[in-house]
Amino acid sequence: MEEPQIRGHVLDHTARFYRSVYEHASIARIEGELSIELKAALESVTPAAWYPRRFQVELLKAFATVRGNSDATYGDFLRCGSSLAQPNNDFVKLLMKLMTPELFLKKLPRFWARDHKASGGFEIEPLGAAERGAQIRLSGIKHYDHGAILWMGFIQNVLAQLGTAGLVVRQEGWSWSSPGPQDIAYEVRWK
Amino acid sequence: MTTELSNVQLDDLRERIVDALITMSEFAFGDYSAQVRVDFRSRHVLNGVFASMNELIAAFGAEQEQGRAFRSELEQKLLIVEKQRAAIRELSTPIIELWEGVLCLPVVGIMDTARSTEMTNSLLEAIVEKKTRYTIIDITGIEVMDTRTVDHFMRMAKSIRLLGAECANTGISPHIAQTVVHMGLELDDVVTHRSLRDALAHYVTRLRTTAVGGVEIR
Repeated sequence: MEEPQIRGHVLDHTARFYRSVYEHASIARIEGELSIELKAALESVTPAAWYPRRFQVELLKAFATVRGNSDATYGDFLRCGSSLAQPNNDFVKLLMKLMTPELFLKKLPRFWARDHKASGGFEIEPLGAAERGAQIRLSGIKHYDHGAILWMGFIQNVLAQLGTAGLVVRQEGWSWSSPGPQDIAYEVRWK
Repeated sequence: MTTELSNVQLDDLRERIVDALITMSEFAFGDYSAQVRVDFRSRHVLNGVFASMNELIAAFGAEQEQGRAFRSELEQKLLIVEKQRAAIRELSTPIIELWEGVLCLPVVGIMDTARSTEMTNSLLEAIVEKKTRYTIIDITGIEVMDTRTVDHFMRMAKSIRLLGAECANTGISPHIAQTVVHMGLELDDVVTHRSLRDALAHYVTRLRTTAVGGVEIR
């Protein structure tokens, strides 16, 4: 079976995130947890290249050592995912101008496939005609610890940028005791 | 004549452009294998634009690949040049231990500042390493002697003396001797011998005298 992989730009982004929000001692603590292999990869990471997804899991686990299994860490994961949704090139800026919330949810599997290989995927089921939102299932992500929370942050931020009011995003399936479940369900609603 | 698009057509247009922009975002972070989906079965107005975008991505990818190949080739060549340079450096400063305590540096070709610095460094290191007392710089093979070349030798001799060794020059050709005099260059501080053989004989004698008498007779 092919090893799940992730794009270099996600690894790079995650590393840049904790380096920008934590103080020196915490950064040193996180980096002290990282394997030599991952440190070497981060030093010369190529945004478009594929890396083992376990690198991202390792990064996120190291990340969690700073504030432990707490709401604060959960919030940091969300913020990290959220910042991944910030437009970082002109094409994405244009994309944000053109997309609608519904179209974004429809394209969510493509965004996932852009950044993941052999690593599960999204299924989207829009809510009924009277409601705005979708039931989303992210499946095949066993052992991708905490990855689902990053993606929740990503979804939240993109929908917020697209002007959704009263946005609520909930997840079911992830917990500190089960950080890498096989599947996770999200419910996204806005007014 | 204007043609109004229906909402369905507009949504389709928007989705196609969004798909293309997602592909372009992949291209933006360096994935040159990304391709915008073109539906050739239809005669969609955007097909031509998307096909051109794909050509652009492919061309850019090919350029990048070629650039990478050039860089790699250049790095290989630079490595070879550096190796050759190191070999030439070693060959251009062949320091020979003629006798125990006597080193010889035969100089061939043209002396410039870089070569002079290299020679001086190598020679001084060898003097310290081999505990040398006498150094002979043989310039039989030197092509041109001008003020700068003389200056290089003067500096070399001074450095050698600072390490407590003596320095002699040999192999000054009649032509170079004439040039030196003609140009009014001062070589007073440098001991000269007619040939390498003379200089070696002189220093070996002095070494033997020192070894027998314990005191060097000057």
